[in-house]
Amino acid sequence: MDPRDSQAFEILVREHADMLMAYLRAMAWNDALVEDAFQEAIIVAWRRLPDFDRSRPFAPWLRGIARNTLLGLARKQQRRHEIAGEAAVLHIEEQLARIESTPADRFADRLQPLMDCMQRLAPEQREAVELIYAQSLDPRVAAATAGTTDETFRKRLYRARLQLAECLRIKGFLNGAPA
Amino acid sequence: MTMHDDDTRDSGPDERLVHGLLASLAADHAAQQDRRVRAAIARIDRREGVLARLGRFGVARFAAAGALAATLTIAVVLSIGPATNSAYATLQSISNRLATGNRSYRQTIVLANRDGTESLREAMVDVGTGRRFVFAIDLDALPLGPRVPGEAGGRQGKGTGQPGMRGEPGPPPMAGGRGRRGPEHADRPSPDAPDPAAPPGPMPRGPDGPGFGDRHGAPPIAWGFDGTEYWQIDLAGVVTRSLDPLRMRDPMPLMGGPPSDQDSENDDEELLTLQPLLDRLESGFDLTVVTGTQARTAEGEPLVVIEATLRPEVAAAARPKMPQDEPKEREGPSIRKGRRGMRAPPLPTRVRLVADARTNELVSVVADWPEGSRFLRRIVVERVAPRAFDDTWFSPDRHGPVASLPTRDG
Repeated sequence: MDPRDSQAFEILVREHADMLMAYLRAMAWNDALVEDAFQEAIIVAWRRLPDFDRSRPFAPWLRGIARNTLLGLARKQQRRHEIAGEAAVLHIEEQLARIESTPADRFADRLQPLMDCMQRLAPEQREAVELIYAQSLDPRVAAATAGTTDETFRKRLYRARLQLAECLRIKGFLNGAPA
Repeated sequence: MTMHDDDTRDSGPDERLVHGLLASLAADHAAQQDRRVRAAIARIDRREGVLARLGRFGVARFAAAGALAATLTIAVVLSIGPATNSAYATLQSISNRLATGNRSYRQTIVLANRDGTESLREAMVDVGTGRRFVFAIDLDALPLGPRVPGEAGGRQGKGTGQPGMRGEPGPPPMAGGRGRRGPEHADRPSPDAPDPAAPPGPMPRGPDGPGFGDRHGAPPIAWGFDGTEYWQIDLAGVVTRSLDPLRMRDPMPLMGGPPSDQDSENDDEELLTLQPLLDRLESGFDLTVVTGTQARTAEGEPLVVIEATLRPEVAAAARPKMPQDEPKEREGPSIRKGRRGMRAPPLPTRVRLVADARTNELVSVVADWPEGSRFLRRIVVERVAPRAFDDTWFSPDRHGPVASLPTRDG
């Protein structure tokens, strides 16, 4: 790829966009921060593309840029405390590298184990996940839709994520997280 | 409440990762991703477009033009007399003069390209109370040019006339060009309305140095004083702040050499008033008050119009010396060695001044250089209707480049 070919770069970005968003969301809970970091990371990657060693994989390089961009933005916005710690980030990167090594055309196709684990959730937990993540409802609206209190819904969602993580570990999709 | 409330902030990495992966389940995920990527690519394209346009004239050339635009308000003064004022002094004088209310000035420069074409540069200076100011090169106006002198163009016939003036037609029209913006265009973004295309978040800050560009770093594109700090932004988005006035980089070589020792003596001079300009013009120009004009400001105040024409003997004296005419340089190190070959630029052959007859405040200056001038063709400074600033307008956050780029990005 011509390092300054913006069309080729766009294709590359689109290939890795899902992974990048998953990575940034895993690092930071704040959606606005994640959106900003995504935009900035792409632009920085473009600017630094001539420095990219094309004998190496693109995804880890892009994640490195995204990580530093996110940390920089979080520092400026005084949200550094909201970002995952160093060990957690390292672990997340390792897991994403594992996921990427799964043979599939698209990132979404690699997430089939997650879909399978979703089916194993308790119905109210699965409902919570679907309302928040699939339907992108506001958490308060989601809680009302589920007919429960905000607090209960929040805990339900939290437990659902833990259940999913455990399921994925059992399936060998994820490695054990650091203590 | 959010889907990840406080009690989950200390979540384990796997839970975080699951959260990140689940986000791809959203029904509108593909559309959202497409929007994100498009937005990022659009910012890249816009940035590249600016760089390409810069590349047409060279980054260093643009930097010089930017710095030149900063000195534009007193360009006539600088060109006529010895270079005695820094760009900062220019803005400071605006600030001094206009401490009583908001003022906006549009600055337009017609540069001569080496290939005989011309290109335009625009900048705005907004001045507020408390000596605050913003000087910003109009990056969106960069596509103007190059153009062949005399070629018909969008600006023809419209001039750069100051809106709000009655009777006074404003500076004469440019001789051509493909101008697409001007005071008559309503699509110019209002300074008090955030630009939806502007990069989100605060501008990166720090003395990290240039992000890209020539070996001297990215060219500066905006300067200002927010009431507390002086700041400067370069094209890479790097913000430099200082409690002391920041001098713009290297404006003087193209305007006639480095500032002289008299620099500080003139810092307080009100260069936007008519008399200091006239004092300088008197020495090298024939001055004529244009009679018969009934021009008035929008407020109904009478205007005075003065034409200044360069005297032939002054023009001849100011003509650059050929290298063989220069005295042989002494051997040994010289701090001026790097400046060798620098000379005063050609003087404008004609200067047209319009000022408020009651206050002597300058409302426009048009200086024309002769055909064949290798750098400048025309400089126009015109007061325009004051824009509605809000308090944040003087902050660097509002005046970033096309894409704000973090200074440390791994």
